[in-house]
Amino acid sequence: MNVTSSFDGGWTTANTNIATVDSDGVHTGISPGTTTTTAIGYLTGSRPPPACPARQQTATGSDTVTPTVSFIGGNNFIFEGTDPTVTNFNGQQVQGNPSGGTYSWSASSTSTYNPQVQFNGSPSTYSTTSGMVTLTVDGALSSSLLDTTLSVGYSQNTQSAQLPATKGITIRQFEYLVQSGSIQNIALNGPTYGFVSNIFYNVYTHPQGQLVTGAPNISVYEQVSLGQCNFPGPTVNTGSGGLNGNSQLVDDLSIAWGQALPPNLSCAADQYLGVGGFIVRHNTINWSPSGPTITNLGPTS
Amino acid sequence: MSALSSLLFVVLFHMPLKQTPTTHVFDPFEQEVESFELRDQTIGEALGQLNQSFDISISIEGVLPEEGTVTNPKLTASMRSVTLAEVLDQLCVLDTRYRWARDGNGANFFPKTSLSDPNYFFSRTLTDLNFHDVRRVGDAVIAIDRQSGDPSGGVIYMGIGQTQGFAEAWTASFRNLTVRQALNRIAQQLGPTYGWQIGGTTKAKLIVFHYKLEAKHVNVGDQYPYRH
Repeated sequence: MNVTSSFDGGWTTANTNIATVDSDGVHTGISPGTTTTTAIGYLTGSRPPPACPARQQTATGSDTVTPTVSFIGGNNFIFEGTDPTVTNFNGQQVQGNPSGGTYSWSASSTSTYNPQVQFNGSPSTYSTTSGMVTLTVDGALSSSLLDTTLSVGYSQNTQSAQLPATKGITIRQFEYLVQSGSIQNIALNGPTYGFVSNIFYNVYTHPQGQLVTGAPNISVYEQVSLGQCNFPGPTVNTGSGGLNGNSQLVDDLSIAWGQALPPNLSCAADQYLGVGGFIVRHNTINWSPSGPTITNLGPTS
Repeated sequence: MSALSSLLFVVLFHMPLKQTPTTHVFDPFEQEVESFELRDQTIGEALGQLNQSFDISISIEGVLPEEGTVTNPKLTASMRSVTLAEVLDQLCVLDTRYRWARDGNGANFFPKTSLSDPNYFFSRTLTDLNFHDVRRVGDAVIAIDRQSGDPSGGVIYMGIGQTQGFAEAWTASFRNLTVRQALNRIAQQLGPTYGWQIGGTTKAKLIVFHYKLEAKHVNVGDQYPYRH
């Protein structure tokens, strides 16, 4: 026989700072901790009249309120490396309820490369009172998508969340470039002659050759090597920015000449391009009076 | 281990520790190089190592052939307790093709033969050089080439990056600068350690600007150093 309704209006908790209960017995956790619920009701017999007089019954039980935690921000990937323009994209955010507790971050991975995830520069398990951390992985990447699991435990006022927050992520490494469209040549027809030439590259990461999107300002790097270029030594052109608003690397290969370009103009350069801390392309560039041409020496995938 | 890194090349230096009277002006070229050794390295490689250790601007006009490639001599030397300027002097003694000169906090290396060449491109005078809202380094280089009036001039500019140049649009006017000095002004506008380097051939000069000269070559898959 269901006698629940006999207790309507008779519910109380001993410490309403921990838990409250409404007239129907529905509990609400206020803060982590343990308290006691008391329910008072009046039970009558089920037989037909004359019925037994109602009798007061009292029931008690314990209440344990535990906090909860969940992810509220961050991508389902991070970029490998320590370049600060890359780690800007490696933030993850969780929120504990109620707030004010301590988070414990850890990671596990099935990647065959055995990546070691660090949290704000510290290894697992990392404890912090902040819900935001920056992840870094140096020297290893995912071998398949979402093969690395983040796990965040949470404790507040001596109580721990029954379940950690979990999230699968992919550790992506900048791997190769693919030229986007043709070389864009803007002719200079006097008083300076030549071309303003731009080449746009899309950026891809491993595993599984994923296109980089939504990642402007990641650092880019260029080194023009010895050999045909006749530079006295290694050099680097860091430019002043990074990937453009379309997450593309833009290369400028302009020619400026005081007169019409000589018909026998010929020049070659050996070029290495990098994105986000990794060299991802080797080119040979040849200039002629019709503009630059690029030979991709890899990688292509 | 790369061939380059296997070479014995150690630069040990220390900054002056004593606080000098307030009248003292810090001269980056007077910084002491405690120990400088190089073995079988080119002048470019030596300058790359120095630039990685010192926050100065170094620009190099390479000794260019009419066509083909040049072979840069390999240098071996050992120096102790010398100034940075003295190291640069010594490099020009070891590779006699070069001379160097100061322009503010920057060092320019150039071919010795250019001193006797009145038509040397980078020594030409720009009587009136104006930059108006210039954002791309390439546009500034084109303006300099245009002002040089060199009938056989011309440069090929290589650069990368989102803005390919200046953080903000640059407007400036200069009088009676050499091409070399004008390129130095571009480098200064990019940042205090920026410099430039010329390669290619006398018929097709390549110019690249750099944050600092690099000390080693990279390969696909290598990590490159990020800027601090």
